[in-house]
Amino acid sequence: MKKSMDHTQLLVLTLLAAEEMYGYQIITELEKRSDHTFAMKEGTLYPVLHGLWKDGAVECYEKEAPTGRMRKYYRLTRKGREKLKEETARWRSYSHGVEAVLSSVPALG
Amino acid sequence: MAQVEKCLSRATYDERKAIRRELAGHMEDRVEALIQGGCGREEAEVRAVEAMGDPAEIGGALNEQFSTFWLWLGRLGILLTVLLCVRAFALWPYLMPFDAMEWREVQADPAAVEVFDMIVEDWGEPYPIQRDVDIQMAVGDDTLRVYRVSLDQERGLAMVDACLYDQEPGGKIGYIGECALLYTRAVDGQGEVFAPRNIINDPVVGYARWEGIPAAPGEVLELRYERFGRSAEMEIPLPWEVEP
Repeated sequence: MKKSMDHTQLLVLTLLAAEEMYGYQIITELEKRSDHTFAMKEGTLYPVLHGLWKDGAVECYEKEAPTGRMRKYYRLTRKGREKLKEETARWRSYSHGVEAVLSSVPALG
Repeated sequence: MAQVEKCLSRATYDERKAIRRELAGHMEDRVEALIQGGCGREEAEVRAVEAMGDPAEIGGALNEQFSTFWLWLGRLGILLTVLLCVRAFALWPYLMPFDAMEWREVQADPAAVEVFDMIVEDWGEPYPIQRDVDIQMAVGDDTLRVYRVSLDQERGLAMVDACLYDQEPGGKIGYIGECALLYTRAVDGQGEVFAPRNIINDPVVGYARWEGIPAAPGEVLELRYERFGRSAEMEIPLPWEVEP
């Protein structure tokens, strides 16, 4: 059985599926879209990105920012896209299972 | 940033530099955003550092993403290169097989005496009566070749010139000054032993000259070569000329 993905990895892959982003942009986007639920310590994003890169799920390149500074952008690879599909299905099945258990207890409903 | 870098023991110098650049870029973005939000630069910098989180934790997690395999392979490569360079330096004379082959051809050429004379030119002239010879003997891979015998009839002195080389390219030869000894054997059977007076001992070729060897008509010279318990000997005829 394949090891399931860390939820931060899943969120990062989801964001990158829409557009290529650099680290800081991923953090701010994550905060915005999760309504600050996923306000992680910003530095912890980079081990996640490097892990995804090592697995071949993302690739990176440098592009000049409007300020003239070079920024490292990440984009999804074909492998990353397939992984995202698999992990999304796995996550939905998991959350559906949790929801089903929670709903089965009337006191919690 | 330095604290993060400290944890990146598995990363190469370039990888550490790239991470540093990326994290610094992130913090600059955060500082700019905070300043735009009305924060002073100093406060913005403090908050940006705080927002990054624990540097040791980030560094440790980043370090885990680097495989030690390539790092150690690279270090091993450097170590092997250094060892090979040291070895090549130590064995430099033996790493020239073509030179050794050339030497071997020169030694084997009976007309090579001129070449030998150029090499040993500061040893002085041979005695007046000279004869180029080509007497060779082999002990193991070493070949000892006597290429000239000369005589000073008036003073009753003989001179022998020889060279020593290995049959195998790059092979080591013995020290000619110790391995090759000249014996005289007089008619009455009494004799003396002489070590060469002049020696050139390069790693692949050696030259030796025995001079001032007392010689009388009828006397026999014998050259012996010994190395690693093996020995060989050869008789050297002297070019006596009949008095006019």
